[in-house]
Amino acid sequence: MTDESAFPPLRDLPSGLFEARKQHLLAEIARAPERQRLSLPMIPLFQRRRRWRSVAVVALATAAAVGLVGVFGWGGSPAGPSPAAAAVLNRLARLIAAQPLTPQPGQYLYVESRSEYPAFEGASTCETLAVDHRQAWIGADGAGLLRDTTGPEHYSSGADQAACLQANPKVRLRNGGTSNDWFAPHCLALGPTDNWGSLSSDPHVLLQQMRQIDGGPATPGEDFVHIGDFLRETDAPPAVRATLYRAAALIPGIQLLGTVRDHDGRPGLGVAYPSQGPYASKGSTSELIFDPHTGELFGEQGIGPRYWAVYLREQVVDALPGKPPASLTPACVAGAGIGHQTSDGTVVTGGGVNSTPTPANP
Amino acid sequence: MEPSDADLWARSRAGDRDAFGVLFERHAKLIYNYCFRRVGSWATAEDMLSIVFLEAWRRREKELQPDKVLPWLCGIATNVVRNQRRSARRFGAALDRMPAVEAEPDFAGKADERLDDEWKAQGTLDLLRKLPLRELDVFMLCAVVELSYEDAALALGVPVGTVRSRLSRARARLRELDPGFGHEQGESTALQEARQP
Repeated sequence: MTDESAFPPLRDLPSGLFEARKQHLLAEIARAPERQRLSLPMIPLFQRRRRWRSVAVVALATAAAVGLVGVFGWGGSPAGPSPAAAAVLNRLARLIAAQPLTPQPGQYLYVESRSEYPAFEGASTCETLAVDHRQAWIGADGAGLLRDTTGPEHYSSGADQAACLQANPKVRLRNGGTSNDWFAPHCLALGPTDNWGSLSSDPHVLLQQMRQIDGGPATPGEDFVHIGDFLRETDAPPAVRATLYRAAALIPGIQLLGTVRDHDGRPGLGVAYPSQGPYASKGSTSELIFDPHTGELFGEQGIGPRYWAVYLREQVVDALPGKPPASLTPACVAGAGIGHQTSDGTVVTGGGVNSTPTPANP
Repeated sequence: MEPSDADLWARSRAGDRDAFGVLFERHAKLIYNYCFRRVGSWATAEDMLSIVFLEAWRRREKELQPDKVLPWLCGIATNVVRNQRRSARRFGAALDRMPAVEAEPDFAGKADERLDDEWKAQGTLDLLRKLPLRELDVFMLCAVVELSYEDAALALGVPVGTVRSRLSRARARLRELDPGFGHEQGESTALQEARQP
């Protein structure tokens, strides 16, 4: 009986990795018997932002693109990963892998966030902002609910207001409101993929996969964008998140910021990428902020364009906060299987607009 | 002439790090693949490889029978697999200092291959995890890593007779669970080669 054939063939460690592991081993055993633990600041919390928002960010940045900007990792060479950032990300990977963030059948991953990303009215020089409080219930079966409570829209600056009015004198800013989007089983997919099991646990492989799935130019800066896209407000299992952190540790130019504060003033461990390439404006930076206790992503912020997001809560819950206001067609094609409920109670499903408005909040 | 494992271990016990490095070079591939076959993840297997050898160095006072270094390492690896979180905690600081390594220039070509490996291993592990852990340990060491019964007994710290009976029960159970298990193409020569110095 060839039991071994049930497994893939033996593989060598990739040669660079073999040598690195050996040198690491020899360096470690040469250390004093009492090894010093890497000391990290002790602070709580975590967060994330939305993919479609990041598309808006990218769109703005594209308009302002000025070409390549040099990147320099903190303590690393411009061409290689930053050792300091890699050490912290690898530590965070081990923390996040142990978090109970996997909903079982009948359960939901609940994610609550606040964020403010620029939106654009007509010309790219006309920028508006609105704070979005968002709650997501992501079911183990792909069902769920997204609830957005958006604050009143305002101009980013006087110059933006002038530009908006010049482009369209009748422009009206939105007052905000709450909407609920309900999803039948298998219809809710947040993030670039809903097939987490297809992703490799090898961070080198994962970087390649993300480029295939998420698209965009094959640059380190875009790799950093992919990391955020796969992490924020998704139901990526903890093991996948751990691999995402390990993949981030491989990105040349990534910087360790140390302890930084998110928009709400909460301290966390920050890593950043000084954006480069065709999608970035000069001097732009994107930061991801992590909870040093749990490894969870708890904040994002950046400049060029300026944006922020704080992730307030992420936990597995047993139920949705109510029932869908209309029956949802259990087929996730052509909009079926999704019910959109606006502030005034209007319900739109894949089959059309329901004639009877229902309460906005379940 | 290549030094024997016994010589290298004796020198390691005396604090010779270079000798220990040679043992790493000699056995890393088998330990790495053993860990991979236990967990189905290349990345986790890499960390486990480091942990196994760090743990071996920590326990270097241990006097081993001649040529029993590999089974002893397999025993450590088995414990590391069983106690992943505890091991990661103990050696967390050391792993933090592992530098990031960039992919080889031709890595993209291997990416699909390694991903396929993980899928295949996960599928096999889904079945094997239905075995009791004590039977799974024996099965993996004897049938998958192909240690002798005596070496598996040494690795697990149980009598040889226990290894035989557990392996027999494991195989019977697997035949019930999946009559076709393991009847693809044979690969056992690869293991034999990996064991050669």
